[in-house]
Amino acid sequence: MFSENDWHRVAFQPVLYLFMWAAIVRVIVTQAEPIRFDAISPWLYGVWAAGGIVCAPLAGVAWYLIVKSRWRFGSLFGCYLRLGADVGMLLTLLAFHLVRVMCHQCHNLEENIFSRYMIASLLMFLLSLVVRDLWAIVSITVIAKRIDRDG
Amino acid sequence: MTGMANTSSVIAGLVTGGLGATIGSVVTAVVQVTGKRSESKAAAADLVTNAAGRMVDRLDKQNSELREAVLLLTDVLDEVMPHLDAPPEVMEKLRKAKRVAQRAV
Repeated sequence: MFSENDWHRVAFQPVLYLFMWAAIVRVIVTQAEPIRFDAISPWLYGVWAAGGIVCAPLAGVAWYLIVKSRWRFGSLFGCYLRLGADVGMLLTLLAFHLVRVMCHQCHNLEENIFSRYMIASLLMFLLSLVVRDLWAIVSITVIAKRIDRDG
Repeated sequence: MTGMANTSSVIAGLVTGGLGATIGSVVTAVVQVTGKRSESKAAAADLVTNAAGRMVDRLDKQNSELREAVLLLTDVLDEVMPHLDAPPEVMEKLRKAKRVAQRAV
């Protein structure tokens, strides 16, 4: 696939989700709380970690249902799961990003500025995935109405 | 101080909203599958996700098979035409057909 002439798109979503999931598993296992969520609310870190843990496997299940499953409702079920996984991942990363931005002591550190911009690019990518999922669900609704009307 | 509190509540909302959206999507998926019009929605979902991709793959395969067939035919015409003993108008038609076929691929 890399030897073809056109500009091939690389499947980045599974790579991103795998690494985000692995990072959250690691901070939970090592009990290394990555950011100061407890300054906001004592229960917030647990909810954030739970969201991060659930989303990547959910996206995997959605992929299986849409692409591989022979179940007749697989695509429909998978599209909704995919939307939930992508929205969850977007909000998990957005919350992390905002808490880091709020950290006033480390604002002008070079590594902080650089990583914040990289996270912002990931947020844009995740936002485009959510738009894709919403577009798919809107299309499903419109086509289903047409099928019901025209038979 | 109020700004900080506002940002904190926004972050709390985002975090709980993320988990809520994830759980909500599972519930919505179950409702969609068990609800009325689920059959037409499933057919529409197949169209939006799988079928379009499968259709493009099939057209790509057909297209490459057609190209191979046309190239083979024009090669054969190149070999056969000098030995043909046909009226000039038939030969002109053959040459024209070959040119059109070569342009198409």
